Amino acid sequence: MKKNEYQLIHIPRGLYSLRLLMILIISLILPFWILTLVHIKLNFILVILFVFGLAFILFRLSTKFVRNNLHISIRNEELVITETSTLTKNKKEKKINWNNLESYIFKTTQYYHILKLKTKKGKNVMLTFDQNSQHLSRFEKSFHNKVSSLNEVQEGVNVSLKASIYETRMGVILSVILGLLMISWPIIALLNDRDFQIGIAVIFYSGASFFIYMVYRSHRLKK
Amino acid sequence: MAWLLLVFYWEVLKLNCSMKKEYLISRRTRTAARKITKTINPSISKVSKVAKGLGAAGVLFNGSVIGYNWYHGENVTASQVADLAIGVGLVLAGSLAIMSAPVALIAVGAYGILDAAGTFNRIKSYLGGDTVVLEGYMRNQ
Repeated sequence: MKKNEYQLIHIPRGLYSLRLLMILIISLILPFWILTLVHIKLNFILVILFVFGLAFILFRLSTKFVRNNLHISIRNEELVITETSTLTKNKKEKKINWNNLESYIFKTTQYYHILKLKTKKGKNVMLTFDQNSQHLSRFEKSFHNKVSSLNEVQEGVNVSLKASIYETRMGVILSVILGLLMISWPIIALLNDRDFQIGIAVIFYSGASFFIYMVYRSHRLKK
Repeated sequence: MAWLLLVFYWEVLKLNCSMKKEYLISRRTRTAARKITKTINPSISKVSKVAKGLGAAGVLFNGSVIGYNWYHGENVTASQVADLAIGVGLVLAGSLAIMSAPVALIAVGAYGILDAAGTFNRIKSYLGGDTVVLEGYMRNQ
């Protein structure tokens, strides 16, 4: 691999979500459908193991179908992005001239590491990388360096780096609200003698903790 | 002699390790990528992986409880289906990357608290939350 060339993995969001939805539906329907055929009474733990085991196998088997190879080349005049689909093997090339770039943003979510590019014509390009991509950190660093050097040297180029939500004051406020909700939910459930909805709570707590962690991390790195 | 053997084994081990690393890089397998990036950005990828897994686990757990109760004769109500749909919607919003702003999370957190406080009981009943969508399986047998 040459200098300024990076091999990354792009996860198409639509395809990934479709796969996730299919896995959730199959894992929740198939075990109970089989149970109606064999007519046996199963322990709850066995049912959970069956459902989770099936979902785990389906996740493992379908991983490669939602991982497209992405080759990015940072050139002097432009950014060249070549994506090869895992399913169809089709290649798509996209070129973005540095002069046309207005702003960019790198951010990490629960699912991806995202690069959002905004061109001067108002067009948005969003790349969702797999966090385990081989050259991700090197690419991010080189991208920052390239933009900084272009902003200094080349006339007419003024690309700004936008702050992710984790770095903003709004991010801090939202994380405080999320923290308060996380603490008060079980307390209110306990006081009202109600069942704590574990399923929804797990989804909420995982997402909220990730957001709070990212806000904490970005502010700690700022110092 | 023993010293020579030790040096030989050490060199073979080193060569083996470097070959393995090169092999992993050249194959660009998922395992390779994971092993290499562990040194680059270990904390975020681990945290996000756990958070992502827990999101899906929450939906599966919720669905399993509903499915288990249904199989053992309990009716499935519209409100249970709505709760499951909220979970699926939240996970999908994350995977579609439209939830970078955690507004959806706050909405779900607030919903959870209000539900725990019993505020939604009347609204749910009014909207037909107690309506039986699917009759219990064992009851029908």
